Amino acid sequence: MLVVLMLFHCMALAQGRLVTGKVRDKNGSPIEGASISVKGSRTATAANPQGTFSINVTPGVVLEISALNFETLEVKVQNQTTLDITLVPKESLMDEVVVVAYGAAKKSSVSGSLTTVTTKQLAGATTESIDKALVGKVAGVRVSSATGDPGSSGQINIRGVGSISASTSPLYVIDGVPMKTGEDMAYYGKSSNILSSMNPDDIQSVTILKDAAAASLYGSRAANGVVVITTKKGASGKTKINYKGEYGWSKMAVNAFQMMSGPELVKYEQAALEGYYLQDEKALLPTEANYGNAAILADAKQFALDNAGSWVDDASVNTNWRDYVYRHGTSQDHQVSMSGGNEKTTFYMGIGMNKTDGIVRGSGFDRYSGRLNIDHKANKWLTVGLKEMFSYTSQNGFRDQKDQEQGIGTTSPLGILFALNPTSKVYNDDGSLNLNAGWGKVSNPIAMLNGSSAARETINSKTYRNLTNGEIGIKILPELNFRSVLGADIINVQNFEFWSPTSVNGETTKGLGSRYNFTSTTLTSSNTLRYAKTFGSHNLDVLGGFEAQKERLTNLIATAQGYSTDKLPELANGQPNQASSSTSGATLESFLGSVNYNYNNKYFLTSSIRRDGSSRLGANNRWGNFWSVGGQWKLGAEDFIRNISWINDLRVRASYGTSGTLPPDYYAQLGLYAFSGGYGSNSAINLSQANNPNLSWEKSRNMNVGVDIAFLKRVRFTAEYYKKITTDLLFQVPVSYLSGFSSSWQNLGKIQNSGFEFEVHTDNIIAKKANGFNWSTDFNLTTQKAIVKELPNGDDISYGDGNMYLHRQGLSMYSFYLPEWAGVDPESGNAQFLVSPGKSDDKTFVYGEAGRAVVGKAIPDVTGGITNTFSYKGVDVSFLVTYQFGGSLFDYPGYFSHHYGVRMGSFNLDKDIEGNYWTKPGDVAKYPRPVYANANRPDRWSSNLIKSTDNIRLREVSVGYNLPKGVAKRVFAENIRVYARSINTAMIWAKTKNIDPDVPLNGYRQVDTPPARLIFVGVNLDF
Amino acid sequence: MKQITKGLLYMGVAACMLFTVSSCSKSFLDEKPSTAVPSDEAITSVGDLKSAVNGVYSQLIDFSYYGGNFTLYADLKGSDFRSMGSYNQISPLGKYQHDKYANFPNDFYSIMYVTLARVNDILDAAALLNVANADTATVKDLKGQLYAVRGLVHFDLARLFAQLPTVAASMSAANSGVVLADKKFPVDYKGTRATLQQTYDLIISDFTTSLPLLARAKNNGYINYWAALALRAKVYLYLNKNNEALADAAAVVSGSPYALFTTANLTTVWNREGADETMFEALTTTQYNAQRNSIGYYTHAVGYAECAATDAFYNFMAADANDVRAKLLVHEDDGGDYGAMYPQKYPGRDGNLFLNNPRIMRLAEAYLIAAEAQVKGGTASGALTAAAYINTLRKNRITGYTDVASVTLDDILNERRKELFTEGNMVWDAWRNGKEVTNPTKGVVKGDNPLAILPIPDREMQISGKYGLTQNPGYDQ
Repeated sequence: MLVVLMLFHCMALAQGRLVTGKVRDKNGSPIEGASISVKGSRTATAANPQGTFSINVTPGVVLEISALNFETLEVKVQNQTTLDITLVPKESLMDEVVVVAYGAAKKSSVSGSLTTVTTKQLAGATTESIDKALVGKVAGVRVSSATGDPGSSGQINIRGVGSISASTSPLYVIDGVPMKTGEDMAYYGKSSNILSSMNPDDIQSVTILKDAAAASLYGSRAANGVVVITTKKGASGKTKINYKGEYGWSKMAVNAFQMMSGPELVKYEQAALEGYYLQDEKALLPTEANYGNAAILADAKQFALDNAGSWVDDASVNTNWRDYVYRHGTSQDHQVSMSGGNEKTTFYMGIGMNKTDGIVRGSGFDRYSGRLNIDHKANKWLTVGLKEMFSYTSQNGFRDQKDQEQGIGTTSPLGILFALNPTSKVYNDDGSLNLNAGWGKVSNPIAMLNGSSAARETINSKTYRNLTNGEIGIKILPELNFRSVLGADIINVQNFEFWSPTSVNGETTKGLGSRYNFTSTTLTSSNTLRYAKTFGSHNLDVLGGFEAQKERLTNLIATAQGYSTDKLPELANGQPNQASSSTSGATLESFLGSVNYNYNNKYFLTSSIRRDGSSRLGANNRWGNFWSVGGQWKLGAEDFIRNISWINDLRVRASYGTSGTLPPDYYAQLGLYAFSGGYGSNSAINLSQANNPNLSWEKSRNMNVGVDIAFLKRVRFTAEYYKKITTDLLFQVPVSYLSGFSSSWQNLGKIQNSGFEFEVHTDNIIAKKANGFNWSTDFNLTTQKAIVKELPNGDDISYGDGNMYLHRQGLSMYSFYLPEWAGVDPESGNAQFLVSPGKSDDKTFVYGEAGRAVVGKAIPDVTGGITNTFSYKGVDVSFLVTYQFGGSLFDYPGYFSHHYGVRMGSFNLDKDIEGNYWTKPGDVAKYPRPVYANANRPDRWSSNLIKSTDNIRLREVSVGYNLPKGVAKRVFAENIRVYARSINTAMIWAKTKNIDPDVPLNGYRQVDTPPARLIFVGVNLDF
Repeated sequence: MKQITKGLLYMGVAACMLFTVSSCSKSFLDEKPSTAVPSDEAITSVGDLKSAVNGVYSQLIDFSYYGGNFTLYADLKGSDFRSMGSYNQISPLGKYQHDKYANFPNDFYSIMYVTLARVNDILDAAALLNVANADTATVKDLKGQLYAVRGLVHFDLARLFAQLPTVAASMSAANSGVVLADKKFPVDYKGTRATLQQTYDLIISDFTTSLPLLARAKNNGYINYWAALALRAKVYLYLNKNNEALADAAAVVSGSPYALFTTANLTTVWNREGADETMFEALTTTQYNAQRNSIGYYTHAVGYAECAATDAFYNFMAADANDVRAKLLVHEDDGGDYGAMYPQKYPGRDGNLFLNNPRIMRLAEAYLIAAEAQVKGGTASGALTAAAYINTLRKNRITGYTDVASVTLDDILNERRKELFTEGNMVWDAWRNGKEVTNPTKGVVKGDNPLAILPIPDREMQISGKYGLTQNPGYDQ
């Protein structure tokens, strides 16, 4: 950017002579783009990629040589014709130029809280989508994915949980334009991630705006933070060509979902039948009349023997079905990019291809993408730019638990695994597939999880996305610039689900084909005028702007049933069933302004204001104002600190401001009659939503204080504390059904997020000479609390699947509210629950008599990551370790696999029950005695299903080697790098075994594919 | 200077582009949905009113109402049906596993009260409608249907969440009934329970209001005069008001345009829409049905297999070889699993098990109501004897039937078991007559057992909080 600006100043040559030179850093590496200017004139040039430059000067002038992150050097030119210049890094290592809201700024001038993640830091991360790649890299940011299927959605929470019913996801801004994210184009049966349509390899940097001073300029959408993405651009000079290719393998990262073996099931069946008999004879519970009756106990044993084989197919068979549901996935990724340009025009173009086969049989994700970014300087005052992306993704898979309240699908991969009988063979003796290997409707995973079999139920989602940003910059005066960005984000998603006519779910309707097509257009116009001028020691930067956005979403649904063949899944081959379409829209209109002032680069004041009007709000509360103020004192520039030699930089800063969140629904404020229903062959309309003309923004007040210090020229340290109070929560308040609704949108309640964040960078070993040994460490730690402060009338509100979560004043968000498991009675072997937890120790054997209590929370107290990077000669090694402590998960899949006999004949059990269940009086067992069809339901949701998520995890490892230049030259390459890397490499320590602690942010472990461990080998060629 | 002029020019261009996006008009921020209309503009014509009434009926085929759980509730809690499958879809209800944490009570409460709120909203809108003379009869009929539905839904709520009138110690005990939904409520409404007397008064009054408004012609899928009259007869029977029950039922038998199924067609009528005997059924279509939680999918071995006849019930049905109704229990299995005798009243249209219209009232029940009311001492002008009603019914059910001279209450109750199984009556028929049931899982259960009724959903209790909604005995926190 600086280069471009400098080049702009390049004027016609004055008389003089040519001086050539080379700019290098102290390791001898060329500094590309270093600017060389004649002090006091407008003559300037820039160093090419080899670091060389030439400039016409008259003898006696002083040349200023400057480059990003280096101290500016002044050289007086006498009679030399060649110059050899070595630049030293800036004392303040923090002073990189970072992307901020509506522009860029030196990091040292920013009063707010933000963190930038560069391409380099992303290199080791997943190539699937940018959100998931941020895990462990930024303080205050929690990342998770709901499922490990390729192409599925990720979740990011910045600084806690901003809302109860509205979105908790940040706003994504790409090259100055807010982009479409969210789930409103996903098929109802499967989660998918619109962010995965963006190729992470096109990204130059990602900046996370965390506090009000950094984010408030985005107003009504900024309360959950902002992720600002900048794509790559070219630089003038030699055209660079890059090829990156990698191939990878994957398997389940944590050994989850191991099921009970055949021989163990045989034993368990006997015990479950015995229990069943005792229950029938009222001899199961110590509270029952016939408990302990010896004759009945003997009869129970006989009954079990008589009925042996009820759920056992062949006692001699032991099939581990997990190996037939899950597999080793593979993946390949190829990227070709070219960038370059001249003084007037620069370009970047890249094409990418990613092909991933997931760890579940039959699942996969493909992406093909292209990008062209062009920047052109038309004349002295006009610059134009066009950034164009097109991508196509295709995701293959099966239904997942997109909605946590929808339960487990019979034909979901995990539903199939649970229902497979370990005493059934995979193949019959004649070699044919055993199509009766499961209980209930499940036949055989080889038949069911297969995109071409007659028993298939598959979902394919194709996404076509066009993202265009056009930009005009006009320099009205040197200090007054106008910038207009026009963005068009056009997305077409085509979901196609097919249930073959002979599949489990397709049988009743003789097949089902469903096409759900969504088309989304988001048009944004952003126009800003910036005035930046220095008056002596006073530096002033004023911005004013206007922005408008229009979103449109159209869906088209068609379904067919009554297929005569499974070979032709298109709808034309069945009988038409349903046809429907709908359109939704939203608009946003905004005015914004900011003033940044600093005195002598020591004292900084920033302020911003934005006024947003949104169609999503009630007519009475349509407009809202958002503002922020921030200040910074650069102590490091004061003499009394400058004199302390070991301190390189010291800054303290504080900010306060407001931001908001909009309702996620397009028409949340309207009372509505839905016209989309039917009765018989006639249309039907239904009162579907309660009216709230006062529905308003969710308001967030955000305070941040921070200190940045750099010392010993090796350490950079940032500490921050924040407190974010959200009021007027957009709350889908549960209301009595007598109102005609289950909930209504209201602005109620208050939550408070607060925490400390620490980021440390240390250069532990800095090589004395080029190619020496370097070691650096990046460490981040976050503590966080998300507390519900106020609720309507102070009343508790339970919510979520089975009302398992509780909002209570003073309690953490995502607190689990369930009956408390009180262990297994050693005498009778039955599970016990507390009747009134917290009040008495009374126990009951009957689940329905148990009382509820708060039994954990999903949000961890501490999270973070540590990255170590080593380099020596051509070799570099880096690894990222992430950690979290203090949170829990709810093990929903464990509910099915720990049924204690209740679901015999429907589901197998988890392997950890083997040998851990009660068998005789006196046993102190972890799990109760099995009882088939147990009416006391010890399996139902209790604290027994709450598991700690504390873990330390080796998240990313990469090892690379840059081949010697001589070798590279032989194939006409600038540089050749070969590398290997791995994601989710290993669990160093986890409190809970055999469960992947990476679960959705609300702590609900879904019945979906867990995350995969991936290993890649790759090559990176620069030409 | 020239630079500035040009700059302004380009700004102008940019501003124009901006206008094309925003048009900068005041209406820029007004967005309207494409599949819904603001509620105060929704019902402005008779056509809209018709559609809104359709919307109310469409609630009835929900999986937790007549389309699924509600229809089989009374049979599964009784003596005659059991679950073979282990999917735990509806079977926990039949095993009396419906504690305060279970979903079933909540699902019933939700669908029924939401339906009532819609009825009341539409009644308000209908009152404001300007009706042309030509449409008055139509609007009258639609209003009548709304009142009848309101009575029916309250009756269903009362049977699930309150004791039966003939079981309760007192009809006037505080909180012995259900929360009444006789008008539109705001979103923060927190209701309290009425007495059983007030609850049944509202039910009777709604049916009574509906009768003079309703049309008498057959109107399949909708409540007409005859259906409402038969339903009112049924409520009177529950109230042990036998004169009134007999009068209504006798009027239906003698005056309605419906005809009993016959021994010749009895095994073939169940997948027909608008069959001869059907007075009121809720309509299912390939698009609108309860899918796997439907009466059809529950009652077949290839479905969830959660409603099959007990051996005792099958033997009871098969005892009379000439009774055609025994043929409505047929042995089914699913590839060797779940083998048992399954009811054949929900065979599915076009081979699709999801497509079964639940029958909420059919003529045979009017015969049975009349007979029962008569046996219990009811009198009404124009009514026949109990034996006459039973004889007519049996002639159409049993080949070679010879008339009996008299019938007892037990005869009639057994006739109800044979005639109306899996149509949502069994357990209530027993309890309201002071009889116990022997449930295959729970054993002997009487009508005054706390488990005979469901808990008020935990959710509603929590929303009500301190505002006084009363939980049923045995389900206290």
